[in-house]
Amino acid sequence: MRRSRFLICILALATILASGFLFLGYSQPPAQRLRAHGQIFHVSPSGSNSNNDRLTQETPGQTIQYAVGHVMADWDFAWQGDPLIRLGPGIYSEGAVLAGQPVGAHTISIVGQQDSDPGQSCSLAQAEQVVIRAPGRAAFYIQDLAIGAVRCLTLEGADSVGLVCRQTPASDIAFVKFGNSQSLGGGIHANENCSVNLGGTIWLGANIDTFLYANLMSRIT
Amino acid sequence: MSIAALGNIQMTYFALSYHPSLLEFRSGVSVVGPVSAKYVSLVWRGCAIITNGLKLSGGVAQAKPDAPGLLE
Repeated sequence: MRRSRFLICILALATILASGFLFLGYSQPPAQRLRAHGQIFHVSPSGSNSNNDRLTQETPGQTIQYAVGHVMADWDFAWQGDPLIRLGPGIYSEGAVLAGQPVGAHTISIVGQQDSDPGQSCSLAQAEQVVIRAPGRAAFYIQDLAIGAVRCLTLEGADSVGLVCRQTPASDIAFVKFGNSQSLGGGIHANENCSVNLGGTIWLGANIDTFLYANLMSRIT
Repeated sequence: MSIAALGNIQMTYFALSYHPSLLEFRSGVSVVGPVSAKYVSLVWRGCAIITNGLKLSGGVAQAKPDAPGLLE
């Protein structure tokens, strides 16, 4: 009798502990990151963040920010190549904030319709196919050790700045058109130990208040 | 690397370099097309604008002579 009571107590305790772990979410193994090998993620204004996997041109996500979040949260690049977010033609109503670095990679490249040759060249006509229109805020904001490469696209938006960065070691801007049908408040504003390299051709397509601004131990070359 | 103005581009400042920062136009950088800056580009508090001979619209100057930077 005493032994069966003891067993009932043990069983009850085990049940309580098991349900506690269930409640706390310990019942499932942690989600695994997907392994990538130089993965390309596709985005298009006509894409879908919820229904498409972004892994092919036919299944693009809709926003750049969502693709960046996907890269940061769901993938392990395992030093097999940096992620590249390729933007399909069209007008995007926002750019992205990059903060930190992806798992197993350093740089997030965000590119428009550039050539696929090793030189990744880009003509003005190619850069104009992808327009980031971000009125009132930065089209791209790179911070906190994030390394971004932005290539072959057009940035515009009233009172917007094309690129703002802070506390980042190095980011690259190449073949970018600043200003289009709308002007820009600023071109590239580097703050608080931020470094930006310019490359290729930089096109100026509309009036800009301050084109290049380096502040607080930053560097633009 | 080249900076190409498409049409008459108006700016308030082409370049500002403040609080120990560096803004360098490396050798071979060119500015092509009409750019008109309303004010001179400025350096302040130990900063630098290194043009390597490139002519910036509006010119380059010290923001405050008592807190100078480097112009080269």
